[in-house]
Amino acid sequence: MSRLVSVLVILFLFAPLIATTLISFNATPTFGFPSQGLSLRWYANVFARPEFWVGFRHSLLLATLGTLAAIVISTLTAVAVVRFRFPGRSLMNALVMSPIVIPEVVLGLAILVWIYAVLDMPGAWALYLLHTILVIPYIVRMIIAGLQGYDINLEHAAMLLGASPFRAFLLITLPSLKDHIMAGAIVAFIVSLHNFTATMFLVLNRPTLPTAVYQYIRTETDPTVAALSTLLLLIPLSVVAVGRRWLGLDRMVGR
Amino acid sequence: MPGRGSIRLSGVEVRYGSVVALRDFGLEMASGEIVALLGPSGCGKSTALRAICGLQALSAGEIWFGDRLMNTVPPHHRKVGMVFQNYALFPHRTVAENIAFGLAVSGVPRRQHAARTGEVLALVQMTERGGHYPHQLSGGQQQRVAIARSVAVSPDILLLDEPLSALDKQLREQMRHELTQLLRGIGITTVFVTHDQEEAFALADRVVVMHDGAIVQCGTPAAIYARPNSRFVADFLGSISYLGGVLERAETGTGTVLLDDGTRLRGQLVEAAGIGTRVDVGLRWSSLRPAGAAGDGGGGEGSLAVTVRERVHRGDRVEYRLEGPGGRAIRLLALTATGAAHDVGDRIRVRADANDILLFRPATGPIREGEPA
Amino acid sequence: MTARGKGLAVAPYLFLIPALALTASFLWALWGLVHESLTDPAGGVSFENYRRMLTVPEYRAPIVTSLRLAVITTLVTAALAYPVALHMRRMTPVARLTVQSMLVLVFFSDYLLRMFGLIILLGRRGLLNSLLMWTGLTDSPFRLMHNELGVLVGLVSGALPLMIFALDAALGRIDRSTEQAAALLGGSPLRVFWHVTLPLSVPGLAAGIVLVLLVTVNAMVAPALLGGGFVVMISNFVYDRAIGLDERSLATAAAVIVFAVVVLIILAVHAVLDRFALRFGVTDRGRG
Ligand SMILES: Nc1ncnc2c1ncn2[C@@H]1O[C@H](COP(=O)(O)OP(=O)(O)OP(=O)(O)O)[C@@H](O)[C@H]1O
Ligand SMILES: [Mg+2]
Repeated sequence: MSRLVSVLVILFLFAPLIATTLISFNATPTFGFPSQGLSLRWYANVFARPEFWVGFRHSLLLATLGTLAAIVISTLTAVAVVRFRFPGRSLMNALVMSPIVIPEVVLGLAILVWIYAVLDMPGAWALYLLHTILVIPYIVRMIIAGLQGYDINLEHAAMLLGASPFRAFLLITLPSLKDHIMAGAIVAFIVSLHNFTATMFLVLNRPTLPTAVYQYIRTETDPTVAALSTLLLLIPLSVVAVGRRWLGLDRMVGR
Repeated sequence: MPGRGSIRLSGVEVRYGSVVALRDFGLEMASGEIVALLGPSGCGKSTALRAICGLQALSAGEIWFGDRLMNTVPPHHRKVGMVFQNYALFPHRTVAENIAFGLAVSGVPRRQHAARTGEVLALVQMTERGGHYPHQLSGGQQQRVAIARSVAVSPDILLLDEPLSALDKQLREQMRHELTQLLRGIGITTVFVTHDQEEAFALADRVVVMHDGAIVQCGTPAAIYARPNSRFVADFLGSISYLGGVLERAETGTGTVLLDDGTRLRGQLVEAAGIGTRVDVGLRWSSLRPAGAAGDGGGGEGSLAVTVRERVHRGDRVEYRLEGPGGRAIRLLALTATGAAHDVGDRIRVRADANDILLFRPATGPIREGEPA
Repeated sequence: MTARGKGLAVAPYLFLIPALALTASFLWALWGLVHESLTDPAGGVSFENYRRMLTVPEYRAPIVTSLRLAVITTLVTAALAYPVALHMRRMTPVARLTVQSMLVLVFFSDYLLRMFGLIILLGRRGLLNSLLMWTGLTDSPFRLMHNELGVLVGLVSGALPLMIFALDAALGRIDRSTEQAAALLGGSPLRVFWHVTLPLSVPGLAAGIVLVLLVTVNAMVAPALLGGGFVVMISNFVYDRAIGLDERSLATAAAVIVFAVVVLIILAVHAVLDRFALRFGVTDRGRG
């Protein structure tokens, strides 16, 4: 019984991905079945349409900058939270984790009406700010877990061998945390890359990949997006590969 | 002027919040001396090491290395090597890289690394393992690498936290021997922590016995063994049984007690006690000797009539569990007496030298040796 | 980099400077949102936006729709996720790894594109309908989307992996021997599940409920694409008023209300969980 449900659930979850992949090779601009022949024209169209490429570059830039900033901020925060006892410690922990539970429209609109409109921050900056805030919880959580499981004696040993506290952290502790940081960064990067709702409030006239795709779906009905979607399956496929070979799948889903 | 490698701690106190982990800790060590900190779990041994190397700030007291006050010197400037209980080898670096780490961060030119690494690896007989990762080594090998790593940077002082406790018994005995040779060979001032008295006695010039954050006794292994200064130390060293009696006479350092069965014994008066008060009479198992059957007359001074309750063979020795005066249990370790084995139920006499009989003020609190025979 | 002595009491705050700056900026922005929602066109303080949000049926509808869909999505998701999570526990390591990989694959594929995939499947002339008509099972296409059903399918598809992960994590923490003991005492599989496994998995369920709630509240693509304009959920409402219709202050009031509702629900879930933990000794809250 639970076996049957499991199979159906997996099938249900995979159906959209399988459908897009099938349709992406259709020769006709329809989503119907049976297909009227195979072609790669929609793949060609993906590269012919400038908005996808522009959106993709913007999304990559955003995800890269947001993730990098978040790694730095998260590492410092995790060190403070794990290594020190100070007033406000658990409040600080809760605050950096809170963006996960703030509805995206709230965060997006708040930054739009206040930081962008009132403070007059350039739109691109407001978007970086948003994405950094959005992804920090995923990285902080991972680094805190890493630091808690880390043998502090390693850092102490480095210091007693003559390394300053900073060098001991940089040369010994940080490399030991690299799996945790990598796992957090991968999740963060993808969260940022795929973010739609909050991003919509701040894209203005420079689309990200998801907003460009959304516009396309709303205006055109052909399998170009299916082709794009099939190409983008590379991303989750590589997450699975990296998770299985290197970082552990459990860690990728936040455990 | 005190030399390089000498240490002086005075009035050192360490608190973790309301817990006092180290109180009025005072210790002076000469250059090249090997000192063991011995005590039960939680008595502050690791804390003392952490205070010496600077990983733990003091709430009072001073630490001097030679003529330099170290209180505010950070760990990485103290020139103190430490071997951690779990060795703390850097898992993502090879043995050679572990050792070269200290050389690199302390500014030794890169071209000298290989030579120095080879030198210390040879010292610990690990020359072929330079390219291995820590997880590819056995516990004993990891320990040797940890020692090599900490001596590679030529520290003034070496600290070892329970260096042998992670090893199995057989390896522990072998490594104890090797470690002695190694430390003597380098001639480095060493403080090591252990809760195993055999280890302390085998390795150290001097033993510091700690209890509840404070030093209770400090001296050479022989002195401490021969004359523990309190019930705590005597109990901790173990292998001792107690009888009850009343102090009849006291001279300088010695006293005569009347046991409950009327036997008189002379012994070392460890702690001052009033004439006519009760004292505990400590008998080292190894110092007791059988002195014939109980019927054989007096048996001389210091002899005692007991009943054999149990006989246990322990390899090269026989351990007798005896019942002494007042029903107190006594143990006796005897070399396997070829003919004169005693049977359960025999009444025999045992004796000990006055030097090996220790008189203590009665222990307050539960007396664990008072187990009925 | 360790706490040493009292002289370093400022050190943690130095490490926190960037995080503080960042949290300050979004807290400040949230304050700005509230401020904006309470400001009338003349610049004075007014609750007019809130009054309109809560009394005008047309404005209230998206909130109600979102809550209704959140509840249904949670129920459907939990009903589907439990068998999967339970089944995953009984699998061989290899099979488990395969299923986990598939779930991770789905989870890390673009949500928007999965919604697009559902359009392909469920559309009037989509795969499912054309398949049905091609096989002759039906003559006219079914209306599988552009209604709440379509949106629900999208929401469930988005939320399912999260619920499975949460339940799987919680079930993984249960000591197998507890269930075996219950089974040995004569409990039927269903009774063991109801009296032992289910109570012990409640922390995971609670985490899952919160995650599903957030997925539903954040859903903008699913209602827009699969609802085809017939289903307006809260994110669409806020976005349309703020960007499309230039009714920004109404949108801010709506956003504040959503935020308040979400916080209240999360607090309620945790309160229930705490009482539950007291009764059953389940202390681990799981994640979320
Ligand atoms: N970081 C800490 N915070 C609070 N208390 C501590 C801390 N570290 C040690 N203590 C306490 O200080 C006391 C001494 O600890 P320490 O580690 O020095 O003992 P130890 O003699 O090394 O014991 P063991 O043989 O078990 O290693 C103990 O009571 C311990 O509980
Ligand atoms: Mg210790």
